[in-house]
Amino acid sequence: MSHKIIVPIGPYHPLQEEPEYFQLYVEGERVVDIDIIIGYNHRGIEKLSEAKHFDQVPFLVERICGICSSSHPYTYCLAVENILGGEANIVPEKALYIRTIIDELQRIHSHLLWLGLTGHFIGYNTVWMWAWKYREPVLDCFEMVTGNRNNYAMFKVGGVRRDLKDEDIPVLKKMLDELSPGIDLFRGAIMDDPVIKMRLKGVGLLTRKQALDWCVVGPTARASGVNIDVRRDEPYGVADRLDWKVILEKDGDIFCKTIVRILELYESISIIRQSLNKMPKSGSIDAGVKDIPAGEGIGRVEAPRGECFHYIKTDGTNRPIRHKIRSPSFMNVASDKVSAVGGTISDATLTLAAVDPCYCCTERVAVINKSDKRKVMNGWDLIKLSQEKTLKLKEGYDGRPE
Amino acid sequence: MRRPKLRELKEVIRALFSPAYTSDFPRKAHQPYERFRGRPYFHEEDCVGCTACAQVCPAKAIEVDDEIKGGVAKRKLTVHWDICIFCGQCEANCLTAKGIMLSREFDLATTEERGDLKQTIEKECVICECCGEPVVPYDQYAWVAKKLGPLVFSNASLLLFYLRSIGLALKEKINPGSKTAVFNRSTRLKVLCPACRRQAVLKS
Repeated sequence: MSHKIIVPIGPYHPLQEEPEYFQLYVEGERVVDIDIIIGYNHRGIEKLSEAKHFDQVPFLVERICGICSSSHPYTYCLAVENILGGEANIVPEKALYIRTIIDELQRIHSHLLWLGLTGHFIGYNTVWMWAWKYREPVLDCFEMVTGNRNNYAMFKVGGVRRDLKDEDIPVLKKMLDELSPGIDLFRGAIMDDPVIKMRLKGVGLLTRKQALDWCVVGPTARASGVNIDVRRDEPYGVADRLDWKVILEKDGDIFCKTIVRILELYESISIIRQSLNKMPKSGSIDAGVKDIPAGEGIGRVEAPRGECFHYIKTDGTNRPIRHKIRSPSFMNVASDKVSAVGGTISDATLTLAAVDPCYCCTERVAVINKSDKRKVMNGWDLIKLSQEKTLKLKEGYDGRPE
Repeated sequence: MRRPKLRELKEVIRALFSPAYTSDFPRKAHQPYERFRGRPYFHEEDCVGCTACAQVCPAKAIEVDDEIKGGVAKRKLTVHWDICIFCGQCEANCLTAKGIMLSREFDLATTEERGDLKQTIEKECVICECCGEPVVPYDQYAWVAKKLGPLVFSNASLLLFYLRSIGLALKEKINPGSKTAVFNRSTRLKVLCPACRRQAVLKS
């Protein structure tokens, strides 16, 4: 163990999109251990949430993450509606369909983004360009329906803010019809390519037992054969009224994670198509919730990365007194500890990216290690040191010019 | 191996002979969709200065400032576009529905200071005849009086304001900031701020 070398990645590294810090302990080229240090992106969202009233919090929580910006407000709304008596009991029929459509559209765009990034990491930039090209019409539909490509501002407690107009439905259907052959081609290009198969098969392995031990969620768990999906296990929106299936793979390597995400795109397209057909033509989209009684509520939503969880505690005023957020990446990132160990450094980068980590979602706390002997100087400490030196010089100065 | 590649070759050839997928942005202006949420603007003729937008704003991007300057009480409403998150809550909760509206402008780039990204409108305020402090803008009183119709008789301040505006009551010149803290029975028939109204009801 004396020859163990640490390869630091981060916290600010050109390879990464977000600030996070990995220490890879390597022997030769093999990774023997990994330390994951997060907390560089803590913004105090939970505390901020306690200072906003119930109608303002969705705008805050949808800015937790730029990609799953409908999952967090949706989960928050479910948590508050849990206090009020359940989503199905208070939210109007049409709003349920609109919520499901927005949530699934977001899953399509998030999975395409991940697929593109994986292609980029393994050096297949064509895959990257392709995936992001197919993602663009989805974002255009978002802009048309909600008014922005990201941060949709659609969710509110008791309904949705904007209606899905009749003239939008054919545009959405046309987009889905054009997207399907694109994904067919994409699936063929990835599944039939021998080089991609060689590169991804057996890399970043996470067995079923490890997946259960490390409590991973979402596509990461489903790729390892763990049969979980919040949409089926605890249905929200209209997921239980539609015909779709949970995609499962067995092996748990990166290739399986890719397949799970590609096949989930088809399921999402199917869910949106069915919702658009079944959605009532007219009707209210907002229940007009006025008061939130005292109580506790939880919300669970299957975000593109896995189960997103919010807890809300209220005391009868118009603000939450406690808001706890647990995002899926928090569970998935920890599994790098087993999946990245044993591989090479060149695989580690890919493995770290394969769980689709989102650090700004994850970080609820910043840890300062006080027991550490090393002293960390902050800006004020340095200024104090500088001032002390001036003071020392001043005391020793006897009035003569130098 | 070969057959899939042939399939992708079709896509390659198609891509080769089709125009670029990206838009020609700087040379050709981008047209956002109809319902795009862009930079919000106050519309001075429709805004009544009720500050509902400032109260619902999640980012606190709308600033309200009541001030007395040169003998005139004014309410200044400022929307800061650098803080704004373009959620559309101000437009959704506007009293007149047209006072502040989101435009389709997406380009906020400026060569000036960040703090200059703002729009300010001023509304002249009604002055409390007791404490001399600004109460609400004239426009808001007029809007509420018109909306209430015959019900304005229920509120002395509103009724008086309404009668003055149609010329049935004498207009009094009140200097902003001048205090006449006398509460007697006749004080109740004055235009008062909510705090002075309570005092007047209690003490007279």
